[in-house]
Amino acid sequence: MKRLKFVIHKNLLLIIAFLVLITAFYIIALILGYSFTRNYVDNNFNTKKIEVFDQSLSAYNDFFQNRISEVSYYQGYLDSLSGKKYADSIIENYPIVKRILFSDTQISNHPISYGFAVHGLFISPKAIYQFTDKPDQDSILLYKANTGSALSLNNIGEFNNMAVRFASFIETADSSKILNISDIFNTFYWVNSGKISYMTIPRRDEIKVFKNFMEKEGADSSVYEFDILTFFLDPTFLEVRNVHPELYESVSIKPLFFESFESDPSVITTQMPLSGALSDYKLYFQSSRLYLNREVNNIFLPIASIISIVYLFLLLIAYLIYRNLKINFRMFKLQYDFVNNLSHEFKTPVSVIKIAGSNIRSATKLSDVERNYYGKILDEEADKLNNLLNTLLSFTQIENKVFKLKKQPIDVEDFCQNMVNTYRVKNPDFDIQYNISGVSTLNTDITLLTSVFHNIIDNAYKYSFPENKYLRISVYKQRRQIIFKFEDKGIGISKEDQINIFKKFYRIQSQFNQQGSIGLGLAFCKEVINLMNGDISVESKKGKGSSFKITLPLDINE
Amino acid sequence: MRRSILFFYLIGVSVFLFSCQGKGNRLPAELFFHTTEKDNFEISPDGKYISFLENHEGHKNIYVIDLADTSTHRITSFNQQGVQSAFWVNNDELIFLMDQGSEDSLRLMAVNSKDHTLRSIFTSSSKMHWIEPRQIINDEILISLNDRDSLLFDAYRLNIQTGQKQLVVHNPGNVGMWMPDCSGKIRLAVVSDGRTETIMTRDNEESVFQPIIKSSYRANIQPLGFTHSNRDRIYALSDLMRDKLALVEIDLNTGTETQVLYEHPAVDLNTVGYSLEEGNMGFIGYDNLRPERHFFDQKLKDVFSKISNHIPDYSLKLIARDSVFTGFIVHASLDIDAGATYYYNYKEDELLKLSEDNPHLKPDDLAPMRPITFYNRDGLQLSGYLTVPRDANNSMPAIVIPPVGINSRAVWGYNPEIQFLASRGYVILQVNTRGIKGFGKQQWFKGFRNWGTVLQDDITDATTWLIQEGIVDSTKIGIYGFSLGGYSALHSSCYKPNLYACAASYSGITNLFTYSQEDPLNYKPYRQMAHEMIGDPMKDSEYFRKNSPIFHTDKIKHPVFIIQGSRDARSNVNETNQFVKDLRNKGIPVTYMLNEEEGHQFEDEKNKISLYKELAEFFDTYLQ
Repeated sequence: MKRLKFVIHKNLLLIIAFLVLITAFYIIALILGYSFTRNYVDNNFNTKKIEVFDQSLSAYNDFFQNRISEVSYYQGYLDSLSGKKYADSIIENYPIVKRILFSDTQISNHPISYGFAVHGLFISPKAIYQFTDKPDQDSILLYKANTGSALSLNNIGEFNNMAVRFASFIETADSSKILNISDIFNTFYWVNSGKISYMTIPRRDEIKVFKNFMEKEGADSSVYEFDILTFFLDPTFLEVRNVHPELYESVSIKPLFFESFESDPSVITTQMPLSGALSDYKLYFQSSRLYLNREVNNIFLPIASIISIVYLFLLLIAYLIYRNLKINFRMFKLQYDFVNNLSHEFKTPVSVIKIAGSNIRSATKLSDVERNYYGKILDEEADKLNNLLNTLLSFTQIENKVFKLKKQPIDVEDFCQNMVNTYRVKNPDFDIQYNISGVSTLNTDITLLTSVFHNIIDNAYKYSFPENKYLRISVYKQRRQIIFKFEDKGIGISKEDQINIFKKFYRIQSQFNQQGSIGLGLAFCKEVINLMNGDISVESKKGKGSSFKITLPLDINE
Repeated sequence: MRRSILFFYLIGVSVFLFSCQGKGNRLPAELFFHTTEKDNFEISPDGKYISFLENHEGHKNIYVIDLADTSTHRITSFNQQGVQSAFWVNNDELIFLMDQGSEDSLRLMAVNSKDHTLRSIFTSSSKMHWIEPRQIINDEILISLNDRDSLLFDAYRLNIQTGQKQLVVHNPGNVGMWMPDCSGKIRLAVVSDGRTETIMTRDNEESVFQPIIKSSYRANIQPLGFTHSNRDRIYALSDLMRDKLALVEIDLNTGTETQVLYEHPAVDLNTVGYSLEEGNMGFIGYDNLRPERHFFDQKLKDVFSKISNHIPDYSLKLIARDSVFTGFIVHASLDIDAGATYYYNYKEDELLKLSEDNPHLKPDDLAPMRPITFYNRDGLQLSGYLTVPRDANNSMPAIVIPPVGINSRAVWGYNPEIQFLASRGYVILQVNTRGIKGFGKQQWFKGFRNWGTVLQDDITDATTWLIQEGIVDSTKIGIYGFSLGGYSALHSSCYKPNLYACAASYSGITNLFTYSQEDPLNYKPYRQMAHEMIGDPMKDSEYFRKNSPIFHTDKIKHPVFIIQGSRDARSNVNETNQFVKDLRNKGIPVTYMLNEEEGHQFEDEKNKISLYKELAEFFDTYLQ
């Protein structure tokens, strides 16, 4: 018993160690998970701004890459009307464009009006218009050539700049080659902070003509139409698309040198400078720590629940292992008791035989009475041993399903009468009676049924107070079943024990079974009844008595 | 066991292959766009030999057929450079011009057809055009060379024995054509500034050219040749003071028409059967619903009708004839037959097949072309051609093909592109809209500044007509065109997105602004003409914008196929790229075929075949 306890203690220790370990892991996993999530969110705060930047600038990029070059589609033939139409569609679709200055330009090899001249190349504005986002306002004519209107330097600046760039391009251009993209970008686009100027891209043959103009060659005196447009942008009208509202509490457009003097140290900021014509401004992102923590929690919650589920799962497994161990331990204990009891059971007859044997040997002369006495004792004790062994054997056979039922029709009346008579003779103090209704024959294995009866009747006798040995057996038919009911007025069985009495090696601790019980009787009965496709159950009240009920199928040929 | 498995496997595979073949049964694209191997047929003056050019080791060489025993001999062996063109100078000798790349020098040579001896006549670094190679007088022929100024071709008289050349007349600039009279003297020149054309003449080679007829580009006077009967009269096709091109005789002294020899009430005349040797007009041809011909020379009429007895129904084209009125080389073709070149002996009434254009295409596999007429929304009768696949049912997919250019009306005859698409199971409708030449001046003028309106309306009306005919599935009509036709296809995509299921544009115009500007520098005078024909980008900018597909990518709803050669001088590749980019951004399925080597029209056979394969695949995806 000491050894067993030690084993249990050792298991308990292991289990506790395991529990402590996984709990420790659980807590560490939670802490690490939280800290990683926090780092991840902080990291995202600094990197995801590129996505916001891309999204916010997509309209500007579309305008810059697709819509500006549309001017070239007109091959220089934009006029006040078509120019206004184009400008209106730009201003309407791209709120960032606030104002468009349009110089309807002519290039020739002779002076046309005021303009820019390099050698023989003359570039002059025919008219300059301004288009704005004021809805009802027509295009404002700022200047028209040969009308005497004054040309303000303010309005001609963009024109002059493009003309200079254009002239220097013509000077060095190689008209035999196709214009490459960098030439186009460097010459015909002029990107400045807050404005973009664009000039119609000339065709290859025109470049050749302009080269000739510049070198004062060729007799061609045509006038070529070109358009120069300047788009004035207000970056603060850029539509910010916060595609990560979970990260950025607010995204705004601020001047490049804007610094926040926010005193609250919990506010985190990052920025992204804009490029090209918007380079004076930056995207400014800010979030409070509290705001970010919410995002951390949002991400951490599922992680924590996964960790918890794993933890709970491990706990469950630990519990199951513990339970199995406990059951195994009980089995072990039952078998231990069984062997213990069995040895006792064997020991008594064996010691009686031994005493009888030694008495017979030491007696010099045996009287008839003595010989009879010892003979009876030896016979009885041998029978006891034989019975014991038979029970054990048949039980193992039944349990291992190697036992075949030998069915034969029996007369229930005869069977019961015989059974009761045997007990009345054996125990005259036993008040045993039976009552049969509605059944006469039963097709079954008589030996096994007898053993079951013996077991139950033995128990009824054994677990009754000496002055109240009582048993009533009722046999009756219920639907297609036959019921045997055994009612005694014995010590009864407690509720907890009722569940276990049909288990192998289970014995109720009581003064009535101090000797001669191995805890197999009812387990044997249950196995037998199960083998016969029947059922056995018990109802009992402690101190009042017990009632065993056996249900067997009635054979159809009855 | 293993063997039997293999056996059944093989049976399975072959059944599969067979069923595929049965289902597809499609003639490969290579068959249709195969180019003829033999060309440039010429017959010797005595009618005893025929020469032609054929590839030998990858370059064109001269072959001669001896008609006495119909044996063929190759008489040159060039393997670096091919022969461009060859002509008989007498019964023994041929002169020929070698192919001239941008780096090569000009080489004019002669070869004896009997002993194959080669002789160089003339080499130069300039370029040369024939003026009249068949007219040889005192061993001299007329050619034009640009050795003085690369842009100006002067007329020379070249002795083919000595190689000595003698300047006949300087090109003062803008002379596009020199014409000799029957005695070989250059007495007529056509001067053009692109907008106005002037016919100048002189009495002899010593006197100065005098302008006699001036006409704007709206009228067309094509001198054809001097008359044999009167040295001061010429044959000409003219629509001056009338609607359709007619064959007239013009007196060079007065510049007036002396008589109208033939005119057709419906169409312009085009094919000319003039013989310089005889100085007379043998016949004149024109494309009505089918090609037709009017004969002036009854003997020649007899020749044609006798040939037709051998091959009834075939359309004939006279390629060459000898000087003794015995041997003729003709090309005969049908809508369902790519055709063949024949030698016809008038004396013997014998027809000999010399070469077949496409021997692998069987007429039974091709789809007949039916001339059709319909009324447009203005009640005007227009014509076109309907090609219906042979195994057609009542709900065929169809492809509408608009005109490819104002100078290129659809005509009846073999057309590889049409036959290829028909072989893929499409009903093909070619439509001759207003605004194109061939049906008189008025019809042409209607298209002036109206490419985006009148032409498009007629195409829409033709498609409506096709739907009403009830032979096509109205939900499976595509539109495909080359050049101007590509413009029409894209224009329809923008403005008739529900009428067509898809559109294909092959070197199509996307932007009228750009197109109206795209004139080579030396043709500057054309600009004003272009402004009248296409529109003035300054005054008509609203019309240009409205009718240029590049501004209206947002209106296109169906799949588009775009074919573009990088070297196309007429349309701007950057704009096409932008156009494709815009469409793709809007989620329209675009198949874009950009070829770096090709220009406006694909030349290389391989590129051409892959183009048409892709085109067929595009239509198979969206119309079948």
